[in-house]
Amino acid sequence: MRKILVIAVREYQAAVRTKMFIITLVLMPVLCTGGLITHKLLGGQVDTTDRRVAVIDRSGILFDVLAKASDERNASLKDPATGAKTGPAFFFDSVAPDDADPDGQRLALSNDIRQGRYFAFIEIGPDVVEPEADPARARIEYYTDTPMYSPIQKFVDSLLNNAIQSHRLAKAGMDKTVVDRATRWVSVETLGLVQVDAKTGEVRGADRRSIEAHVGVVIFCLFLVFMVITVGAVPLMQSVLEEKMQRIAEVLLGSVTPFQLMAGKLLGTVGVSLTVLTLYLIAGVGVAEAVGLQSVAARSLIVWIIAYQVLAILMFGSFFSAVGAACSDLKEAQSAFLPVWLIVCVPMFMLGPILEEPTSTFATVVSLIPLFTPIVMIVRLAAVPVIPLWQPMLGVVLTLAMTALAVFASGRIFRVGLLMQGKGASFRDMLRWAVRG
Amino acid sequence: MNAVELTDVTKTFGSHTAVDGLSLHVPQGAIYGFIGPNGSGKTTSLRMIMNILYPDRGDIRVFGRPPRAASDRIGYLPEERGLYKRMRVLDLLRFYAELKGCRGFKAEAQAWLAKLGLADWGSRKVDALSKGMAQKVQFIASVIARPELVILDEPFSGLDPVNMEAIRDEVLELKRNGATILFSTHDMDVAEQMCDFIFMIFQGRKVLDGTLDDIQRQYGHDTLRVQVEGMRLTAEDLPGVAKVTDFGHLQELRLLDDTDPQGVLARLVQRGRVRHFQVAKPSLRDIFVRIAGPQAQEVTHA
Repeated sequence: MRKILVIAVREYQAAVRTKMFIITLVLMPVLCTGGLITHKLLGGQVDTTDRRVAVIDRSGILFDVLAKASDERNASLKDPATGAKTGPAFFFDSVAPDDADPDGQRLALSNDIRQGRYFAFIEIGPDVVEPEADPARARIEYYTDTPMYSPIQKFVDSLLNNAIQSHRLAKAGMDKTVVDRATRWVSVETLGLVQVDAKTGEVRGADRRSIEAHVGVVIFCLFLVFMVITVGAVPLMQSVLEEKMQRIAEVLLGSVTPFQLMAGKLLGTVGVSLTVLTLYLIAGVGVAEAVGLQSVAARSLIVWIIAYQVLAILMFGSFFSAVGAACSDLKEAQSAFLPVWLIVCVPMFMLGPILEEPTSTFATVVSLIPLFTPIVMIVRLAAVPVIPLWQPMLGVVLTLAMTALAVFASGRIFRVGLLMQGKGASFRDMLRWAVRG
Repeated sequence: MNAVELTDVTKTFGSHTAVDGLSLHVPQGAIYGFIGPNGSGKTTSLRMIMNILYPDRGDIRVFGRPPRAASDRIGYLPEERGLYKRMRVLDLLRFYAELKGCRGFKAEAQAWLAKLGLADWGSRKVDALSKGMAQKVQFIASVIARPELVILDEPFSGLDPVNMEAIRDEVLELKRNGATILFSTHDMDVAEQMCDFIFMIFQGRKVLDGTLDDIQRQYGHDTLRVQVEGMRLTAEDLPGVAKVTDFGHLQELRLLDDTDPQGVLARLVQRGRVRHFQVAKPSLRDIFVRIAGPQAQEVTHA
């Protein structure tokens, strides 16, 4: 045991003292929330280049609506405090329809767009206002070279449809405000369950926020799992590979058994991942307290996260160290690493249905497959409704059994592979070593 | 009690027999030299004594116990050096000392570093060391826990003469302090000078085992070193001479079994002016080549 500890302490220090560890620790959350932050940062940095759009209006009534609405919109584009422009102005130019050669006109306008004179052009069919019109004569077409840019299309779409509706209603002799009132849409809101407050005894209503918060907790837990495996189990493979390539393993095996060596390395890695986990959990709980969401996640979730993470590190860590021991250089290790990494990633592809219905048979079965348990069970524990307690408990037992098997088999691969030099081992070799020892 | 005892030990890798029925007794306090050509089973034997590899057959005892039970009493310097590149030298030495259950390593480590001229390098990282320095650090790592049995696989390869002497002196010092030294080498001069016992393994089998005197006696006083002015000697010219090895200034003549050296001298004097004539024991190098040289291999493979 003493030797296992000596190895564990060295492994821990070697991992935690590197610059890479600290960089990863700081960068991972940045990367994971990077999209959000970029969006926030760039929120004010919109492109304010004006967009000029040509309009062929065959209906004869809709261009004026466009011109009027865009004038109003363009006038409102000033920041009241600074007077700076807050977005691009839209200008619509009316182009007389060329009924003799419509395709020629379209080509000419397309070329205008290509040369930058226009941003887009719109063609409005002659009968768009008629409710029973021939569809071919009742289309609105938006031609552009930048189809991913949607603001103009959206602006025109809602504006023209409103105008068309008004025309149709007026024709039918109906008042638009009456129709609007009659057809007002009522959305269905999703809420959590109502419960009794433990302290005051009052019935506490669920608010909308708790649903979003639950999604936040699930995403946070997923992030934790990946973080822990990334900073824990993956470097373990590199460290085993280093010991093999630098012939350090030979010296170590003169003092310890292969099992002690692997156990020590796994223990050190568990230490590393618990360090990471503790830091992020403190940060996560801190954020939850700060925004008043501490009630969303049960405290017991933290215990489950820790338990499953330790098991995940032992299980995946032993796989990764076996891969490290069986390969003979970094390149080989990278390609052998992929299948194992895929096992880690498989639950991600099943998250949709699991989150949708965490108590379904599918979710229950998947969460009890030991290779997926650490990720799927944590997600189910973090989501609502609450799953029965026997499930995470059974999950721990099954994962524990799988972990024991993984450590045992990987230990054998480790022992044989570590002293093999030259050619790396095939999966068949590894299987043979694991079975025969 | 012997420090190391091997009884009929065999190790195969697939269809290749690396060590074949090897028996060996290493007395405590001796310097025991392992020699043999590349791939003859030296490292495999040492690894089995270290319990890194397990024998397929036979028994290994270290200080009368199975190797695993004695592992804390053994220090090991592998042939290819193994150090964590990103660790500081002192941290590394502490790690190896603690692995063997040795406490209070610090003063010991400092003393070793000072003795080998590395006093200022304790807090530097291993990858900042030169090759020679790294080798010395590796040597310290193998002896830091004051082992009773020190196994050194090619301890001098790649060292310059100054560093080589420094390590050699430390090995002799370890012996004076009671340690048993087992080392493998390709350097026959080193083996002749340092070893109490020499053991040669060839194609997995023991071919020599004993003191240098024993071995030389076994191969007879059948070597002449001569220098004859102005002529090149060949075995054909000299009846009773099996082989002539030309070293430039000197020629070494290996005699057939019952040739009288005086008779050869008489012939040489007739031929020219003899500047140097010495009846010598065969060198270890010569014995090595006789056993493992190309001609010997042809015989074994025939």
